[in-house]
Amino acid sequence: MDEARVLPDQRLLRALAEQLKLPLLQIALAAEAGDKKALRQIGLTASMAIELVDSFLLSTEVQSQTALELEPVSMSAVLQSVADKLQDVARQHQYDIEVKLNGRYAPVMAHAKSLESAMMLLGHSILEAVPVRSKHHTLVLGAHKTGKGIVAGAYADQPHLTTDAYRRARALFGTVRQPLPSLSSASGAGIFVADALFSSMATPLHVAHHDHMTGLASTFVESGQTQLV
Amino acid sequence: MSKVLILEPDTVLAKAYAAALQKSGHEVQITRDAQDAILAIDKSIPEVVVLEPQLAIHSGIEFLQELRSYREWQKIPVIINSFIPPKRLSDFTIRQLGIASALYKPATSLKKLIAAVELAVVT
Repeated sequence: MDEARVLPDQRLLRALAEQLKLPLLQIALAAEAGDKKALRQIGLTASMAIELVDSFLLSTEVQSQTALELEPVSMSAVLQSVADKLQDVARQHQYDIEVKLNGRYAPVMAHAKSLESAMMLLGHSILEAVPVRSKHHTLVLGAHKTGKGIVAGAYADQPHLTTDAYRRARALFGTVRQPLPSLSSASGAGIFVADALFSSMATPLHVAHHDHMTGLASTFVESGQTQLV
Repeated sequence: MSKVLILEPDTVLAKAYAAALQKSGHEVQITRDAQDAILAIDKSIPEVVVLEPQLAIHSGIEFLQELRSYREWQKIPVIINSFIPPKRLSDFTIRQLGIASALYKPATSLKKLIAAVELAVVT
């Protein structure tokens, strides 16, 4: 098959299809072995795969809208919700999760459902990324203020992502099996679905730094609404 | 009984393969990345390596090239068990890197993997 002839809108679907092989294979092997102990872990993988599919469907829905309605969204609430939902998966991958908000700021203008879905995908992508060598690592769901707005994303002390690597990944996505090998052995579908969700809010994904860690983030405009304490 | 090294980035799959091979009487070690695999082989040379070449940071092909660069490791049979369809591997790559067999992971049952490992050991 000539990968170069794959249409752009098929690329995400192909990456998604590749990613879905994993949970299905886990289920098939557990069934073959009659292994009930693995069911919990497989359940987590399957849940994240369903999350991925739902996020992909959401991305197609928001991209089909001519004007996406944005609203003031509390970033701290979103990040905390994502952290809570990722706890079990984090534990499986020997990660702790922290929510770190540097400074105080107003809610951001975003599409709430897209924001939460995208953050889930980013967090999960880092959790399932490169193997953890030392006992525990920390995934940080963080936000900080810059001159351009509120930068919010998922960060870890490994792997070390660079802007060039991510730029190459975006260019290669859909044409190679591993567009971001420094992060993942898989197709990276989660990252690119997150990218599609962020882009629909006109806040594309980029490499960012937070407290000496690297990760993937998006930059949002503050709503101007007063944050009630 | 043979010593098998599994190089597989997914923990659930790795444990499933390891459990099945152990049940068949083999001694199994699991690694998730190329660097750990090289270190593991340095400590104890396996009789077979089962490899998913699609790894993070260093690919399985890089691992194989490093493996084959050491004279004492050149004859270790390597079975590719991958989400990459075997037809994507060129004959040249298979010959050059001493790949004993190439399996398509979604179509490879535990039974089939065990058979491939046992064939690689005797061949």
